[in-house]
Amino acid sequence: MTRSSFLNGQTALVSLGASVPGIFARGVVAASNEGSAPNKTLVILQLAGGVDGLNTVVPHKDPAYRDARPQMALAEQSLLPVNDRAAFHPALSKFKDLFDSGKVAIVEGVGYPNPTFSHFKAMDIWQAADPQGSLENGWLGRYFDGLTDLQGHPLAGASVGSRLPKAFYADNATVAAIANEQTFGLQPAFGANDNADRTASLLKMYDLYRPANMPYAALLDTTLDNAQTASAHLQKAAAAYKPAVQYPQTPLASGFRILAELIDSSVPETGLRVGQVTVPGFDTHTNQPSRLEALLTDTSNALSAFWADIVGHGQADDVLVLAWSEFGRRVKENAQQGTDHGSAGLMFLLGGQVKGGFYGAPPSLHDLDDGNLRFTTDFRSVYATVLERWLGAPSDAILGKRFDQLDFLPT
Amino acid sequence: MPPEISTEPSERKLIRRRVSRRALLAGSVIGAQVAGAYAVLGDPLALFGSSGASDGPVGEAVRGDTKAIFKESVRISHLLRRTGFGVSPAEYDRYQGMGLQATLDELLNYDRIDDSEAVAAMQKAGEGIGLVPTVNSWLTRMAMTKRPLQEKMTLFWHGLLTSQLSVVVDREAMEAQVDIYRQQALGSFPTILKAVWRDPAMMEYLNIDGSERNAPNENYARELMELFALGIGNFSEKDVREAARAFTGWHVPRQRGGREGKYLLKTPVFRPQGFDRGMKTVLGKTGNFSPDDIVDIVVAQPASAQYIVRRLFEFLVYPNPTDAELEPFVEAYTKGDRSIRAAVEAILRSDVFYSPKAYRAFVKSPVEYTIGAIKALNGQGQLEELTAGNPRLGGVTGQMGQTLYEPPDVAGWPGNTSWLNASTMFARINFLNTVTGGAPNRRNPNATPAMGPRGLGTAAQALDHFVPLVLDDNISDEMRQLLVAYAGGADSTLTPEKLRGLIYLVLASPQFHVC
Repeated sequence: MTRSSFLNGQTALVSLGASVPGIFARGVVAASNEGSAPNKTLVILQLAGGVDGLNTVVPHKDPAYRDARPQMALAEQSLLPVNDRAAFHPALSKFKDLFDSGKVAIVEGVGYPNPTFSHFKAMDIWQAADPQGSLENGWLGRYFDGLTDLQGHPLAGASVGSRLPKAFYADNATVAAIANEQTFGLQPAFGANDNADRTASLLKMYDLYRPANMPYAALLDTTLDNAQTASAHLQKAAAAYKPAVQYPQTPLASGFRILAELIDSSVPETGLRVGQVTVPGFDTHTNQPSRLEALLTDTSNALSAFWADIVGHGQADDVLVLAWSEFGRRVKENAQQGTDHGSAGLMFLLGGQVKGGFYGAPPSLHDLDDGNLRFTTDFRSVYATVLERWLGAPSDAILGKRFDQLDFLPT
Repeated sequence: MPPEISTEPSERKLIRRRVSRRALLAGSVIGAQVAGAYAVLGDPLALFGSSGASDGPVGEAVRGDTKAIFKESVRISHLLRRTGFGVSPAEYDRYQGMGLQATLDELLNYDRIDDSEAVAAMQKAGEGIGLVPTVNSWLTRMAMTKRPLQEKMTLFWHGLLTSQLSVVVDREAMEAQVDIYRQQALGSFPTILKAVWRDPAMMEYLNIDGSERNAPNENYARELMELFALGIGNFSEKDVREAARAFTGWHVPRQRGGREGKYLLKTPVFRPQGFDRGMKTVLGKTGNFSPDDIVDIVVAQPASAQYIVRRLFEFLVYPNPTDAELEPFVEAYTKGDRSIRAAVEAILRSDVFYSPKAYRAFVKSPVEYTIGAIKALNGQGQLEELTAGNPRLGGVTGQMGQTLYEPPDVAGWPGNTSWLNASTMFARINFLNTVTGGAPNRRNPNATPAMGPRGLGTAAQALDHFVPLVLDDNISDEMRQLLVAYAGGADSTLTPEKLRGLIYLVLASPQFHVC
């Protein structure tokens, strides 16, 4: 069902006088996900733009790597080797500490059949979990649509950023987009004495806007109502939360910090099930060496601070981070110190329950598909594993069919 | 908690009058009898305009609902919301005085109107570097223009034939692309498409630049068919690959420099040796086609007429029309030699445009929302002062999900209900707090927000000014009572704080989110 047909359905309900605040959330009745582990949180880290997997987890012993990258192959002595085959980019020293502690699983050769090289289409495919590109909702939206206990928990899903990622598009459930913690709430009139009256009147207006033939009445009322509740929960969480570490001063680290607040178990109403932070800019067609170094440094440091904070709050066993990017990059470097869009790439997972190491299979540098790596592992296998073993949700219903699971999480 | 309703005498009278109206409507009295009953009550805010009794069913109309569209004053306001960005109080009076037909004629024949004041304001607002002056410059033009339909159609094309400043990099090139849309706003569709593939920003954005016969880049050919002019399902992958061969041989030279200190895109250069001269078969036609030939082949498809007319209808009227609903406008477009003006004029003169289904049928875009509020406050001439808090207007629409020159991807802004989520709802309402004077202005602490005309001393006066202006005088009785109660009574003197609060509430109403 499309979003608009869903809303039309709601308008019909409203005209029958059934409108109440929160109607969208209350309308969720599917029982398929009963038994979901309630205290588990999944954090999605989107590395947007297409990460160059080969210069991130480097196949440094393979001569084909240096042949393909005469200008941009990383110097052997700068690399951070993790085994006799793979080494990390030098900017990933903190990430390597996490890996060495056994809490990071790296999945190599991730992709899907007939890959697209368009950012737009590839992101849609990953977020809808649908290589045909026909689904309008997202894989996490479908997960939320199956939950029965969202009422009163508008921050069960929260994405940091002003636009909601397609992965969270749902037919019924609403997921909050938090652009900025400071502005996530109704601003009072400066110096005024009647702000409480003004806000009460505002909310009442939305409540009143629901007799027959009032377009979008339920959507507007529910959006403001959920936003107000979410803002109150976020403020309460922020007041109760004491970071265990000093976060770096970057947008990504601030985003992780907001999610850490929502995960903090001392404020039970928030109940974050799935959160997302995004780091943009991995589309390194030009000047890749300096840009990739800055991006990986930010990612590694912010993730490391977040994880130390989670560990400091005793929540390591309840949090799982899943990182993805819409594609890897071309094996051969281009003439402008960069790499063009490719196909198979990397995912990684971090968590107290994660069995660290390498999963999937490293793609061959010798058997390429028109200059691109051939994928060895369908990204939906990773999603299926996380849905079944972490979120306790039926992966075949959410992904449309059954995929082999990987063993980075215990069954 | 709802505020208590005041019981001072003047307001009791107001409530009694409205209660009796509701009682009447709840009965079986219909049509002219209802109108007659209104006349007996001496209601100056007659619910049905002169055309109402004859144009549509009116029996169950309740103040606040979509049948208000049968009233001429509401039709004019509806037309101005869809074809522009709202009105200032002076524009409201002027258009209402002209009537619907004269308003429509003026909107369509905009080339007769001098718009030099808006052009000058746009240039001034665009001084400086960075995204904010770039965006504010266009927003200023939208707020100041006397040619609202031209600017609204420019925005339509920017959302359909997209490019992103973050990809193109050269701000001047993006502004030049939008200027093509402004010049051709109601032009012929093939003419627009023939201008846009040649545009340096588009060549850069969809990789016509550098596409060679040995390795044609399919990006432009694909989006031309999928998103710009034909629609998915109406072409094959082979059509894309073949058409891509026609868009080869072009190169966009770059020059270091430009206002942003990056680079400028120069006039595209054609290199015949890079062009694929071979025969191409596209949508059933075969020949040694040029890019303009591909445009002609695409627009000649019946599916193309359907596609562009659907996009126009979904921009101007309501979402998800049936093919049958589109038919008269497809015919007007086709008979009009693929003129966008023919389609738009037919739409704006149609019954369906003024139907209850079309009324308040979209969620306003951030641009419509912010400029509509600023114009209602008569602040279009002081955009900078009004919005010079932090962030400024260009940043504010971004918080609401729309940054001009920066659509989210090649498919443009998804629009309508996708504008609303928790963060954007706060951004919309908090922007109204700023422009009604509720947020201290960090850049210019002496700036006073515009509040409309002087003499709004009571709630009744303020509501009689603003409710027709921005809400079509079409709110429920309960909502009016709520606003009066907030102000402390219809006729009691408003403090400046209460006046600001009252205007904030009218603008922050659910009805102001829709258009």
